[in-house]
Amino acid sequence: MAACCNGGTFQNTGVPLNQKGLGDAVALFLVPTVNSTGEDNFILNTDVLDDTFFNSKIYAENPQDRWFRVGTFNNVIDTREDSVTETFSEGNSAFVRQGVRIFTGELVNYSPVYQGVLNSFRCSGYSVYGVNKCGGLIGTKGSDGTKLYPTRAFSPSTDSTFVKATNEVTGKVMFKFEYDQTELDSNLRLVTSDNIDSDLIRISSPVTIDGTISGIVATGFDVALTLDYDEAFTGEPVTGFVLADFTLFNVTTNSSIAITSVTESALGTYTFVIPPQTAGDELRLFAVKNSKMLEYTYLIAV
Amino acid sequence: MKVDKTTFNKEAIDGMTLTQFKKLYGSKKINFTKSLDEVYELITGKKSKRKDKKDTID
Repeated sequence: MAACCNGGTFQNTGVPLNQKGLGDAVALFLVPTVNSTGEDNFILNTDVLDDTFFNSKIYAENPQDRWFRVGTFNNVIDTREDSVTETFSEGNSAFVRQGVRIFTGELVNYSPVYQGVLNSFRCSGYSVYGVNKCGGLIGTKGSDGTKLYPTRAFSPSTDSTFVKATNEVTGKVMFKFEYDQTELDSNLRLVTSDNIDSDLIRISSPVTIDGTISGIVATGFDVALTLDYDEAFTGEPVTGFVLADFTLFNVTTNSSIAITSVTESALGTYTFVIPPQTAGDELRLFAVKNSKMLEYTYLIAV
Repeated sequence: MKVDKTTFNKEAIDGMTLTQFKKLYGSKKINFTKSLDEVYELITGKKSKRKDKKDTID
């Protein structure tokens, strides 16, 4: 932030009795800055902030609409570096720009896989809501007073490091990013936990499961769901999914497909019966249940 | 609706005749503990012709 002046207008310096001092975030929601319709992601002042709201964000089918919860963090440092000033020969100095605000935190006993998960945010424009230790939500107020935006991160600065456990320290993943320099601390706002009907300390994002497609015929296919994550070889089968947990979409015709039936024909293997599709059409399968999410998995109809 | 390990889209099955249902599921390697006639009847509530005939004889 450069040295912007407020038109020379002084602002009153009184304070209300109960100011909200902001504490460090112990968890984060990493939020795509722009949603799937090309608009900014934000919370409206009329949104009801309950489990339904947050689950709709955490489990959103389109990743651009999804909020990715990370944490709980330890050893959080969220500080702004010293401002840059120019010092003159007479000894005075003038403010040039604010220092960079940097977040660092440690995720104890996290798998090295998670390092890759976090680094995947480096190349996409994302913003951040903080969750303080009381379960309140920290963001940046919009100019019209009706929106709380996630605070923009400078995504190229995103870096995570895996630290192996030793006799002295636990294994951990360290996460670091810088906030965008256009973000001002003076615009940070808190929605207190009193106004949130959801436990943001305990809420968690789903884990990605893998789907292996086979046996494609005109009226169906099989998919084997496994939780591979940090397994060296094939992971454990993911069982118990039913028809309502799956969504099938014909990408070629841009239309939803009403699945006829889903059978768990073997542990974690599901046989789909679907209306006949045009050969060569690209289909997209998505599933979510019990904190497990099958990301978009594509197959070609035959 | 669930029959054994299969969850059906009732609306989709309702839109099928028994013949279409049996042709579709007869070609799948799905093991039901009931016959396809019985599964169809269970989902749609429609009695199959085979069953109707039997009822008539009875």
